[in-house]
Amino acid sequence: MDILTEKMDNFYVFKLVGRLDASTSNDFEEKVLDAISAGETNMIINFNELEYISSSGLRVLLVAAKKLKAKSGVIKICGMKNHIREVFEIAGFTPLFVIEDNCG
Amino acid sequence: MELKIINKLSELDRVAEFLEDFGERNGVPGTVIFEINLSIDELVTNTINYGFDDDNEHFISISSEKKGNIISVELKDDGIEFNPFAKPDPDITLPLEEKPIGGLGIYFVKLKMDEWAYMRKDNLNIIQLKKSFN
Repeated sequence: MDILTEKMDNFYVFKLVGRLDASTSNDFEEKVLDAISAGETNMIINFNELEYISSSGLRVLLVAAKKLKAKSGVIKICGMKNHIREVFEIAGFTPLFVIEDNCG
Repeated sequence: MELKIINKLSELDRVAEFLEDFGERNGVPGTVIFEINLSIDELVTNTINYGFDDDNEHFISISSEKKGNIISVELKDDGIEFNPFAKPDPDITLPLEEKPIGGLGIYFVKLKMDEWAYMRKDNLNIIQLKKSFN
């Protein structure tokens, strides 16, 4: 999986390309925690080119959501494919994030 | 069809390729293959992370077949005895502050598969899954 990052206005943007599973989630977790340590509180996670997510990927998002909630931050997730949105729904994760269809 | 992987997380890519190939050969819809892939991924990830109490290389075998509109998958490993289905399901309605980290993977298997079974036989963990599709 490739993880591209950029700063856009008040948001720190992650673009995930490929598959977010137990073999790639550590890399993503490291980058997210680094950004939070650096003081970023608002994040956009671009799922346009994310093909797959497992519970290991959800775990990283939950860790980030918990940390940012304590700092009144927000995580927006955009461009989710239907089969990935379904995983968010069965996990009860949909209410934890601002979910937008298009990444703009 | 059968795939043998070793107990390394980098093997998850080969699992995905194997299942995509299985789906293409058998005319199984992509959405169904996704659900089977997710289930096997979660089980195999658990086994690789927690299933072995030594540093040796171990094999995990995955075999799949389609009969009519039913897909059967069997996973075998020689790790420590563990029934992944024995744990209670998580409460997914808990608010963010109270949500535990982890514990969702096996719940996904139970939601996505029609049947699941665990047995211990000849020092192997054997997991059987069934999924039907239209």
